[in-house]
Amino acid sequence: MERISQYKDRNQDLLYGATYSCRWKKNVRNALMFMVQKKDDPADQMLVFFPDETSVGVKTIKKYCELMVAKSVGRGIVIYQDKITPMATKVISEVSHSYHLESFQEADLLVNITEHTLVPEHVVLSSEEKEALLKRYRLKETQLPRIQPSDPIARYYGLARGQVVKIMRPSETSGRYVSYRLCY
Amino acid sequence: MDNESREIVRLWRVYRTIHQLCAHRGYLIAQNELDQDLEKFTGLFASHGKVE
Repeated sequence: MERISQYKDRNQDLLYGATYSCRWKKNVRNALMFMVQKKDDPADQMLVFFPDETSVGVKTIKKYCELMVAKSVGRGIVIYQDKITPMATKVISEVSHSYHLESFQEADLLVNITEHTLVPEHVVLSSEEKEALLKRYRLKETQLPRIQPSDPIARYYGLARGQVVKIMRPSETSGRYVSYRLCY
Repeated sequence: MDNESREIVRLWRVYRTIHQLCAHRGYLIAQNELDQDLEKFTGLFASHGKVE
């Protein structure tokens, strides 16, 4: 009897050992997950996910949402390898009122686009700075030039509707040319 | 360069960019995370020199 249980134990060890190593190999990307907090407000946290699946589905997104609830984190970024299913994108936009999830493709992050020579410097204005700007030029919000939320730079800075970016371009005649754009 | 080391380099570049992105957005990122080179990254996350 004892011998049988010994065998059983050994078998279980083998079994778990096997699944464990298997999991280790599969979960390399998951291990990259990290959490960050805002400099000026430590309660404002963001989670960055690296799903292992080549095609991210609703199930994975739901799992991440649950994790965000458990850790009470309001924002998250999903970095998918290749594809994200249309249903998953839909779920992301549906839950966006309570958890702000963004998604990026790995290929889009291989280089940092803000470091490219042809990309001018962008600075996101705070709401006070925006008010000051509108007051100074006696403008209404709608009179500013616009930038789409789907613009790669807007996505990089996570611009929300109503935020303003200050764009500083080098200029031959005036040294530098400053313009402002409203995300709509 | 074989597929596995190419995968590590790819992940390392993505990891570096996303940290820069977080820093740009005003999140707290340690300087050593931003300066992380390929060897350090490989040592931390792919200690067997393998991804997948």
